[in-house]
Amino acid sequence: MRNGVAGTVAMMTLFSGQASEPMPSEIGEEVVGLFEQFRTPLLRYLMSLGLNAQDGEEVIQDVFLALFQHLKKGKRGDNLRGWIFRVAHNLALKQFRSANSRIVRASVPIDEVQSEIVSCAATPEEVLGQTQSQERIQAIIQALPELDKRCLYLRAEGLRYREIADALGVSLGSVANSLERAIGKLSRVRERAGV
Amino acid sequence: MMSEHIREGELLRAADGELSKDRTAQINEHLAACWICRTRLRDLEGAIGQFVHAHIGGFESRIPKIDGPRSLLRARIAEMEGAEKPSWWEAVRLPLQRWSIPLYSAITVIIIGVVSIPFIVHKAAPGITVAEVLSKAESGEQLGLREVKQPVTYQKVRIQVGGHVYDRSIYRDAKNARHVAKLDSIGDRMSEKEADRMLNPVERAFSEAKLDWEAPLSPSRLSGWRSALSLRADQVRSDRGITEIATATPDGPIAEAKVKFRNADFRAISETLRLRDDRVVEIAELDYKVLELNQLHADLFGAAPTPLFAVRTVGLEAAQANAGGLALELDVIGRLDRVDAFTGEQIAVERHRDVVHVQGVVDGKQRRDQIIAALGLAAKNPELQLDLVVPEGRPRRPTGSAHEAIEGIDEFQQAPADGSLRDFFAKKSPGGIEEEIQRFTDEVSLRSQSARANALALKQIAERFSPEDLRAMTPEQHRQWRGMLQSHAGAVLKETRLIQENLEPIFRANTEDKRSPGSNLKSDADLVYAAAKLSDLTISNDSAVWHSFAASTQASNVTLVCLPEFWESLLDAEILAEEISASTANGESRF
Repeated sequence: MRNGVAGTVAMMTLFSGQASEPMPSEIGEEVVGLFEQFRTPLLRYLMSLGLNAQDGEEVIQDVFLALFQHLKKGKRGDNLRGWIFRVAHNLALKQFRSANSRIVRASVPIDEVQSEIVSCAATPEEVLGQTQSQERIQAIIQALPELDKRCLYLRAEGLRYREIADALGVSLGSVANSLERAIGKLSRVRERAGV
Repeated sequence: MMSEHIREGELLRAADGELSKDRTAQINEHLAACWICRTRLRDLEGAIGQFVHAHIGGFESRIPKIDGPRSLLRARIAEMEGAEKPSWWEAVRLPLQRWSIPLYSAITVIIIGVVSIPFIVHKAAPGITVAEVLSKAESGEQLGLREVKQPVTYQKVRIQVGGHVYDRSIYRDAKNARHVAKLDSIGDRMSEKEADRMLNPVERAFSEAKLDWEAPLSPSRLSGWRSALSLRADQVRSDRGITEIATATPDGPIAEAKVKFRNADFRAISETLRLRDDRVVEIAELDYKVLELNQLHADLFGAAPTPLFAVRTVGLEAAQANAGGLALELDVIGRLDRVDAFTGEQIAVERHRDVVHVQGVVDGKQRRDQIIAALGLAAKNPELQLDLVVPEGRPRRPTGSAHEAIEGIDEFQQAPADGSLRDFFAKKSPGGIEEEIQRFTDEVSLRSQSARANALALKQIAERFSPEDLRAMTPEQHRQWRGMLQSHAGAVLKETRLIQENLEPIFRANTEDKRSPGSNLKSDADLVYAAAKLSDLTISNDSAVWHSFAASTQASNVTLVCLPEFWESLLDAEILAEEISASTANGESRF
């Protein structure tokens, strides 16, 4: 009943033209809300795939415009986050195919990542130790099979296994195996480095 | 109780909450008893933690602020909704589908909806574009001015920013390019000076966006700002006699502008600007009048009336120039220049007797419409012939990269400057060398292209008028011409200095500063010659930048930007741009 009242109010608002600031429909507002929630993890994921920030932003705009159309058609699955990441992932791959040269130049974040995660308060010896272990970890990530890497990045953004499977179009078992492999390798690198 | 240790994968899935309740309970029971498995789990968690820190932290500083992209999305969705206005049935059906309300509520809603249909019909304005609204507004503004012989506009606006409210009265004599403004703060008891200081940042944003602080609701300036954006999303709404346009963009100091127009005469009555730093500026028109100059106090614009009036009103030569094609051509060039039509478009303006012919090729239909809208009333002048061609096939939107890679060529060699850049950035920031190099080369290339484009526009505008034309111009027209030159020379100067600043730490070669204390520009002819010379210099400078920073199939070991000749050329360009800019400052003659 509460929902019914909300629907009636929304409808009256729509008809009376009061919902003009700045989006005329509730679906539009919902999409903007989802954009606010997912834009940063999405952009991080797309950048970890090798897109630069500008291309990543363009992909995200397209994702949320597609989401708007999707919701307007009344389609609303129970795994919206998986849907969003899947569309972003597919659009990113499309972007890779169409603009290969530009992406290659933006796809070497390892050194930068390594330089930023070393603690400023560490002693020079600690910095060296941290740097070396981070280098090993980054090298391991880069050497992982593409699927393992993508599963790892998506899991880091908070996606559940089923959502990752949806986003990448693979089975739940593949996701579990990829994550097990990836985390296992990282863990062994840490162990060897004595971290 | 389980006696064997738990596999790594199961430990991970248990920690991730991906196992059944029963299995999770079994594993937890085992972990409570088994130190070895607890330690293995902690190791896994440690590896995850380290990865997450690296992953999140590595991107933190590279994620841009959300405001611009959010505004853009908001506007794009609104635009999409405007274009696909739902039928009344859809408007009813979708919320029903969403909330699955009981049938009786649905019936109530449908009845409300049907009764309200007439209101919806008036709400959206799907038949009119933002460019058309601005064009109509411009036309209306010009028509109002034509009713008076020597019009001076009086406008009182209320400005609301950062919790302060100001009233500003502006008298504007557009024909003689002069104005006088008075500012009053409301409620805060500020002096005019203090209020000015508060409003300075807003005024700067206006200036950077090429809007006019002295005509804050000017549709032609809004049109110019909008046309210059490389990426934008528009929407138009109409309701109860008011049409509102909104443009959102990730470019420039203004993130979003919403302007309301009165439908009766398409006059802009208020605007809300959201600046890039999230400050919101609201400007509403409280009063507007078009007055005769002679109705006003003689000292309104300063001391005694300038001699401009005498020349304008009684000078035979000037009157002829106004009546003929020269005035029209100057007007057309000014309007085209405001939408940057000379900095890259293939547009040519010619005049035969009194007929002005604008012809060229533009990027697309939308761009053509923008240019026509920018022409405003002039586009309707029977003595203006427009011949703008839109090539078939959709052109690619320009990308952020200054010089795009050429597809299909595999054997690129490193750019000649690549080694020096690597050495420099390796010392400066050992991490992210590739990205630093990319950012650096993109910035220098874009600035170099911008300097070249502005110098080209400068040359075109300078050379467009013959010495006879320049002599026949009224002082006001002459000032307008010089104003355009000044604007482009200023842009060349700014870009050239920034190129120097960027290149200096890495490639600087010793050159002698040959700047002479006085200006070498003594006449209009000198100015025209200097504009052509500046254009040549920026072309060769841009070529040197391109050949130094672009990977190419043509082998070259010479980094042109290291050579003293390049630095001399850059310095020459700076000196020339500075001289032109100074000699045309504020449109005043320094000759």
